[in-house]
Amino acid sequence: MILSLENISLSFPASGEELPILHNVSLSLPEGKSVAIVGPSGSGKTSLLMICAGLLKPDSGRILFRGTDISGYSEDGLSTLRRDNMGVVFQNFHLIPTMTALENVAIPLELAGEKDARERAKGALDNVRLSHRLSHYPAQLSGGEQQRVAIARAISVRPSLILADEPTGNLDQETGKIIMTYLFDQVASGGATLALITHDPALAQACDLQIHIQDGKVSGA
Amino acid sequence: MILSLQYALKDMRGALSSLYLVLMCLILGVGSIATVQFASTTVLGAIQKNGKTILGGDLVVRNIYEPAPQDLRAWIANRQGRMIETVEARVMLANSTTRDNTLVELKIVPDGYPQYGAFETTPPMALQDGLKGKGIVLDPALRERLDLDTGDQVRLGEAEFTVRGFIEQEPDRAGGSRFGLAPRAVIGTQDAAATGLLETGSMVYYDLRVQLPAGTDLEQITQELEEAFPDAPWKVTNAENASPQISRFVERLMVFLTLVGLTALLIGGIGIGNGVKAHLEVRLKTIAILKSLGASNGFIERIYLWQIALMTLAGASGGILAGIGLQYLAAPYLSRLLPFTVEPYLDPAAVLIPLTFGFLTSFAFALWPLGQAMGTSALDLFRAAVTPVSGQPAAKFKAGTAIAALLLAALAIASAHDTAFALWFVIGAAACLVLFRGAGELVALAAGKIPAPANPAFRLGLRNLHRPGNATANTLVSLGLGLTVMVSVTLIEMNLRRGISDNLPDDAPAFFFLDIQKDQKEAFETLLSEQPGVGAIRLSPNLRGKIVSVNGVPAERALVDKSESWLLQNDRGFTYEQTLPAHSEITSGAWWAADYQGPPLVSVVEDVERGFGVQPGDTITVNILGRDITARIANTRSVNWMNMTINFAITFAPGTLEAAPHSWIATVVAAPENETGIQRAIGSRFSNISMIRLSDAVNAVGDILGNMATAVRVTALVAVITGILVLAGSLAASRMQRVYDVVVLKVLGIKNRTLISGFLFEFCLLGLCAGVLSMLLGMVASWTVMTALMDLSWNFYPLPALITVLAGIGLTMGIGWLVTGRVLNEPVASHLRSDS
Repeated sequence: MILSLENISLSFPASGEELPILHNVSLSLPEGKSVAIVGPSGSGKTSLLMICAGLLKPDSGRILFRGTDISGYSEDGLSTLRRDNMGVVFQNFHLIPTMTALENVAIPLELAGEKDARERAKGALDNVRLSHRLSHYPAQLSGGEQQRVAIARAISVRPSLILADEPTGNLDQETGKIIMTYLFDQVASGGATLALITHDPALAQACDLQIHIQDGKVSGA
Repeated sequence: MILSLQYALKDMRGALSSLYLVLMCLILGVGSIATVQFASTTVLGAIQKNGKTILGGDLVVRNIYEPAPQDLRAWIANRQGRMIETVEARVMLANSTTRDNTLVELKIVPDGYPQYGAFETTPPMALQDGLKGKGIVLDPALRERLDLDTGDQVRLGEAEFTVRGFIEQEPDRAGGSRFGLAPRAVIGTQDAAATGLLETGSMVYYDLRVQLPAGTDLEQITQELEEAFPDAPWKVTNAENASPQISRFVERLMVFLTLVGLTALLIGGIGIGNGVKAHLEVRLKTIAILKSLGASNGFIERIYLWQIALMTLAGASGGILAGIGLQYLAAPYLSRLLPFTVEPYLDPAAVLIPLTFGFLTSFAFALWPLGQAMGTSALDLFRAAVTPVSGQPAAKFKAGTAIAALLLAALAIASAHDTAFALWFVIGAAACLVLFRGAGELVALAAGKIPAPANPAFRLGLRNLHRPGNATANTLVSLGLGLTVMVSVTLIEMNLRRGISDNLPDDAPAFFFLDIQKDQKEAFETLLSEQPGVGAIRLSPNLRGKIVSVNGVPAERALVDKSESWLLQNDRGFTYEQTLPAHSEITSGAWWAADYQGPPLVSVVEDVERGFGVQPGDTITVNILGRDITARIANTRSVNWMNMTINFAITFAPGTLEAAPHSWIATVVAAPENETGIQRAIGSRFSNISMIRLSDAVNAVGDILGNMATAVRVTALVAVITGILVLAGSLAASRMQRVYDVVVLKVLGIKNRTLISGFLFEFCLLGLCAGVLSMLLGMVASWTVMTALMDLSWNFYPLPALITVLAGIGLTMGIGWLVTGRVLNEPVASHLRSDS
C-alpha cells in the first residue's frame, strides 16, 4: 500500500460546537492503482483528500505512507514528503496567477532543487501538448488548458501518488476526457497511484477501485 | 539568484497597484525624516567644511573687557601663529541727520582682516580701503531702519563716520559662540579710540584670531592652550567646531523634526500594515498552492519577507530621493537664512538613518499580518479565494514585531542628541497609538450596543461603525496621530509666543539699557526720570565672568544636571544687591543684611542649585576680570523670568564686587507712545549706552519661534497627509462590503438620500471622535512639554483646539465621501447578477 488511513476522525468547531466531518475512517490506496472517492456533497471527501496530502491534520488516527507513520510529522516534514512523492490536482486548477505556465510547472521541480527544472517543466508541458503556451499567464489560458498546466505541474516530479479533487468538475465533457486520459496514463505507464474525487459515475467506473463516503464514514469500497 | 527571492519577484508582478499605499506611506514617512536629516547635515557639513572661514581663524581666543594679554600672544607666536585682534560690542548707531538710533553689533577690524574668506560689500570695495578715514560699512537692514545710504553720516559713540557701503557677506558672522541678532556695523581699528566706546567696564569682546601653519592639529593645540593657561578667563574656539551655537541649535531642531517625521512614519506604519495585509489576502491562494506543492513554511515566509524588504527598499529609496531633491531646493534658502553659504551635502548617515527607520517600521507593522497569513490552514486558504487575514500569529512573528518595535524606539532615542526628550516622545507616541486604537475599538463596540435610533440614516451610520471589518479604529489612529501632533505644536507655539507677550506684567519694562558707566549713572537716571511717561527705573551693577568651580571641583565636572549646561557655555552676568531682587522668592537659606560686610556671599537661582546640586553653605568660585572670587552660597531663590525685569543667576552680597571696574544695566517702565522720545533723548546724550526695546526683543523671539514652528508644522503636515492616505486605504478596503450593503438596501426600497445621510453621519461621528481625542491628547502633550520639559506655564487656547476638531470632522467626511460615495451610484442589477 502506498497510503493507509487508520481510524481517522476529524471535526471542525462551528457555532461553539464541534461539527463532525470524518468518523473513524480507515482505507488503503494500493500502489499503481486508480481509486475513485465518491459520495454526496459535504460528505467529507475533500477533507479526506487533504488529510492524504498532509495538508490537514486529523483529530485522531494514523496515516501510513509506505508503511511509515507520518501522523506525527511536522508541517515542513509533510511538505518534503509531498514535494518528493505527491502531485495534487484541484477542481479550480489553482495556478499561481502571477506566474507563466512554464513557471507554474517548474515550481515543484525548483523546490526539489532540480538543476534542469525549466527543461523538465517544458517537457511536462509538451506532454500535455501545451508547448506553445509556455509564456502565457493563467488568465490567458482556457479552463482546459489551465487544468492541463496543473496536471503537468503535478506529474512533473514523477510522483508516486497523484491526488485529484474533481479535476474535471469545471470543464466541459470533451476537455474532461482529455484531462482524465493524461491522469490515467500516469497510472498505466508511470506506475503512479491515482486517488480521484469525482461525482461522475462513468469516471468512477473507469477506476480500479471505488471508495464511497457518506456522512463522514466509509460506506463501501 | 536565491530561489525565494526569484519567487518573491515573480509573485509581485502586477502588484504595484495594490501596493501604492505601502509605497506612498514609506515615501512620505522616510522622506520627511530624510529631508530633516539632509537639511541638518547640510548645515552642519557646511560649518565643518568652511570651519576656518566661519570662525574667522584656525583658533579664536575670546576675552571679555580687555585685549589678549602678552603672555598669550607670545605662546601663540612660539607656535608660528599669525594673529589679528577684532573687537565686538553692542552699541547704539545713530543717523547723524535724523538722530534716529538703533542697537548694532559693532565689529572693529584691523588690517589683515579677514584671514579666511572674503568680506563682500555693495558697492564692491577692498574692506580696508572703505574703512579708511572714518569709513563704516553696515548691515543692509540698517539702510531702511535708519534711512541711510552710501555717503551718509552716522554717529557711533563720540565719532562721526561716513557710510561707505553695505555688507553682502561677512565670512565669520556665525563664528564662535555668539550669533548676534542685532545688525552689524564694521569700522577700522584706527578709528576705535575716537568713539570712546571701549571704556573700561564696557561689555567689549576681544577676539584674537589665529592663523596656524597648515596641518596643525587644532584639537591638540586647543588642549595645550587650555593646559598652559588653566585659570584664564578667555574662551577658546577652534575651526573644528566653528559655530557651536548654530550647531547646537540645528542639532536640537533636527531632533524635534526627526521625531515629528517619525510620527508620519508611524502613521505610515499603520498604512504599511494594512497594505501588506491586503496584499497577503489576495495571495493566500498562492501560499496555499505553494504549500500543496511541498514548499516549506520557511520558504514561503522568506518569499514574503523578501517582498516586504523590496517594498520597503523601493518606498524608502523614493523618500530618500525626495529628501535629496528637497535638499537641493532648500540649500539656497538656507544660505539666505544663515550667515554662511550652504551647499547640498550627501552625508551617508542622512541616508542610513531614514532607511533604517523605514525598514524597522515596515517590519514592526508587516510581520503581524504575515504571521496571521502563515497561520491559516491550507484547506481554509483553498476554500475561500480571498479570506480576511485574522487570528493570532505564531510566537516568532510576535517576537519579530516586538523586536522591530523596540529597535525602532531604540534608534529614535539613540539618534537623538536629547535622549530624555526622545524617550518621552517615544513613550508618548506609543501611548497615543494604544489610546487611539483602544478608543476606536470602544467606539465600534459602543456603536453596536447603543439601541438602534429610529431614524434609518442614523441607524445605518451607527451600525457601519460597528460592522465586521469596520475602519473605525484605523480612522482614529491614522488621522488622530497627525492631528495630535499638529494641535500640540500649535499650542506649544502659541504658549511660547503669547506666553511672552500676553503674560507681560503691567510693570514690564519698555527698555533695557546696557553699558551705563559709573560716572554716567546719576545723569542717566536724572535724564530718564525727566522724560514724559516714564515709570519705575531700576539699575543694577553688571559684571561679566564665568563659573570656575563649585566646592573646589572644576565647573565642567561639578555640573550634575546636564540640562543646565548653559551655565557654562558663555560668560555670565553677575551683580551685587543689598535687598532681595523683585519677582524672586527665597527657597532655602536667608537673605543677607542690607549693610552686610564680610566674606563673599552669593544668592543663586534654582537653575544653579539644580545644575550643580548645591545648597546654602556650599562654595562657588567665579572668575571676573581675570580674578577668581570664591563665595559661600547664602541662599537659593526662585525667579519668575517671564516678568522681564533684571535678574541674575548669581547675585553677590555687598562688599565684594563694588571695587571692580564695571558698568550698570537699567530698565524703565514707559508708555508705548513715549518710547521713541526716550530712545532719542538717551541716545543723543549718552552715545555709549545701548538700548534694547522690549517690544523689538519680543518680536525677534516671536520671529524665531514662528520660523521654527513653521518647520515643525510642515513636517507635522506630512503626518496628517500620511494619515489621510491611510484613512483612504482603510475605507477603500471596506468598499466591497459597502457595495453589498447598498445593493441590498436599495432592493429593500431605502432611498438614496437616506443612504447618503447615513454615510455622512458615520463619517461625521468618526471625525468628531478623532478630532476631540486629538484635541485632548494634543492638550496633554503640549502641557507636558511646557510644564515638565520647559518649566513654563501652560494656557489653553480654544481656537487651535476648535480647528483640530473641525479638521477632524471635515477631513473624515471629505475623504470618506470621496472614497465610498461612489458606491451609491453602483448599478444594482449588475451586482445582483454577479452574486447569483
